[in-house]
Amino acid sequence: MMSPSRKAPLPDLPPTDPSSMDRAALLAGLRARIARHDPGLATGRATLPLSPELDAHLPWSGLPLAGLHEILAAEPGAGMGFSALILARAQAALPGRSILWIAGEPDAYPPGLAQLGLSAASLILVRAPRPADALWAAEEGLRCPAIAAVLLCNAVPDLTAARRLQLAAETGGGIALLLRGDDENPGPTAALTRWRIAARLSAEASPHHLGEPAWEISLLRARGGRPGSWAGEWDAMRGELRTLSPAQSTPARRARA
Amino acid sequence: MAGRRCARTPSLPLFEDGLPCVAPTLPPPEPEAPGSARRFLMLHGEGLATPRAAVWALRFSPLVGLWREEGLVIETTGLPEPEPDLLRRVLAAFTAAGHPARGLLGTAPAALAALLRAGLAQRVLDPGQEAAALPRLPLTALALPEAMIPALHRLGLRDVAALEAQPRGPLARRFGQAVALELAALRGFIAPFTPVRPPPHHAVEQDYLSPLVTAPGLERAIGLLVGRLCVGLLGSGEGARVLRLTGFRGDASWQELRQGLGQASRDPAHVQRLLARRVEELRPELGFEKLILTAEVTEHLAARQSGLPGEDAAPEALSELLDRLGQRVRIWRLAPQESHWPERAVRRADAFAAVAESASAPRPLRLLRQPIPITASALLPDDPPFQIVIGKRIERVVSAEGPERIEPEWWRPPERRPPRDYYRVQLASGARWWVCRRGAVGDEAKWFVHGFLP
Repeated sequence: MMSPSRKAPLPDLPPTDPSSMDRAALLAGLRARIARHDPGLATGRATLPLSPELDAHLPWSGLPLAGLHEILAAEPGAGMGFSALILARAQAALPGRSILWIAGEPDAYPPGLAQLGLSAASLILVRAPRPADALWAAEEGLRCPAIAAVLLCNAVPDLTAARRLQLAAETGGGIALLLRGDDENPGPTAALTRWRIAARLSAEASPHHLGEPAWEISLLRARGGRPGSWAGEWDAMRGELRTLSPAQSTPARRARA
Repeated sequence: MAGRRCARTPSLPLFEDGLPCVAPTLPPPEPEAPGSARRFLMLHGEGLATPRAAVWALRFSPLVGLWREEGLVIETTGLPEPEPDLLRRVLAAFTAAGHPARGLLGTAPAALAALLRAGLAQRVLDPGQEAAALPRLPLTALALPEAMIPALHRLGLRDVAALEAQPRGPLARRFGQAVALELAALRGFIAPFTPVRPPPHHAVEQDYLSPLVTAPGLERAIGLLVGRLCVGLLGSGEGARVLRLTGFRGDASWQELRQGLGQASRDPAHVQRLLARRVEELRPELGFEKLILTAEVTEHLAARQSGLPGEDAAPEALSELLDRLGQRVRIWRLAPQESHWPERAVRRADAFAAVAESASAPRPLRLLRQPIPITASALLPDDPPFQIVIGKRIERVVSAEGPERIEPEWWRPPERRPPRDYYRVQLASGARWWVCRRGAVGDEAKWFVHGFLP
């Protein structure tokens, strides 16, 4: 004998009779419920454009704002270049907001950053020699609605701290970048994406001409997406990032390895 | 024709035709309303005339000054407490703090000081009493140079009445201005004193029956004070730029916090967050009996409508964030500067200041504060390097641009700084470095990596 309360359907669950339900609607409802629990998967959030190929590959069709992204710099110049590019895009997407550059000894150099389109007028440098101060400043900045992006240099937050940064970014709507040196085994992360940026010989390099900056862009991890690898080149004249599709870039990577 | 008829001769007085010339009638003089004069409390005692004691006495009135290295003067004009009670309370507080003092409350500080010197103690004087007491004062009670007293005595002048009867001109010619100034001060015509702290326009205070000891209690008390202060600021259309919180401890000492704000604000939540973060700097020990929160520097702050959809509250939000960050870490912006020398092309600017954009240049994204020394080999002395040794690593240079010679600015010390030749090199791995040769070509040339290009 069952009590009447056991028979009553739980209010949170969808009706259990599949014959009367449209299967597509059921799936959409389940996806929406999962997305509610994990905002990192939600589609339709504001994103930054990187390049057509990268945007098509990422599950958000662009690099999502209001999120934490990790960049491993296999070569300091290349990693910083890619980060500065994202900062410049965030500056363009959220005009009127400022950018925090947090490091133990921040040594940003505006004439060089201007090459990648990053204006120093809204750049604020924060000197935080202690990691706890750096994380605190990043979290305070991300919560603030007047900050477009926070760049945290050489900090390795644990999972809890990274999760806090992610939540702070969702509150303020800015983008959080974690730039750190390359590591063979970078460990787990709470970031939405993790990239590894390495330098790459420019295609038009000659003994007396360097050519455009070229990077090897690897997407190691993306929540809800697949990893990938591209060869990227910064087109300074047009101010855009040119990437070759993963298939085209694979031989070059093999050759180098 | 009409103009000619109305023409006046130059000698004709202005009021002669038409307007009567009558002096205006003045209202009859009214008797002085009681309490309209300024009131001062003069205190004499051992070790009182120190800034330390003066700041401590700010708990009674916002206007406290030192009086001629012999006492304190506290302006009590407008204080709500009845004057005898106030006098008793102040003297009791000084006794409890270990500084027993004698005090007189009256109109002219100089007269009160002279009466105290003559031996009067603990009285509240109304203006009539004060005026009646003055003439019989001996000259030795006045604040005159010691050498002057015998000279005045030789003239037969022994008390204030005799001195006041003399014409001022000859007196001043013979004895200098000090006599005239003292006589004017005695009658309250001049009462100069410099407050130990400039009186703030906005101040709130609170006494606590049970002393505040714990941080949560202090934070709550500060929150209530901040709320009242911000109401006052809102009423006068101002925002605070500098706040000062003074806590008076039970053991006759006090502690202070001074907090600046990057932009004028009267947002209670923001101000309280700033102060609450610094509560840990206070050392209550036996507890604070009284807190005073003042807005020392204020600025005009117009009210702004908020909450419209699509409107960004960015300006306040940013300055509040910078206030909070500035409490714990150093923050600054980078402004361009007219110089080719790489380290001097940018300078640090205030985080709240607006800075201009830098022009784009083939420079690294980060300028290393400590350049990395390297060894470079070149085919010819002036050629770009074809191989770089950094630490134990050997890197082959694939392409190089340069040199870009940067001469030192001769007008700035130190003299004889060597020029630098910069090369932009690309290594076989694709890494791009900004390397520099310091000094002339030859043995003393040193190579460095000064930054990493994108």
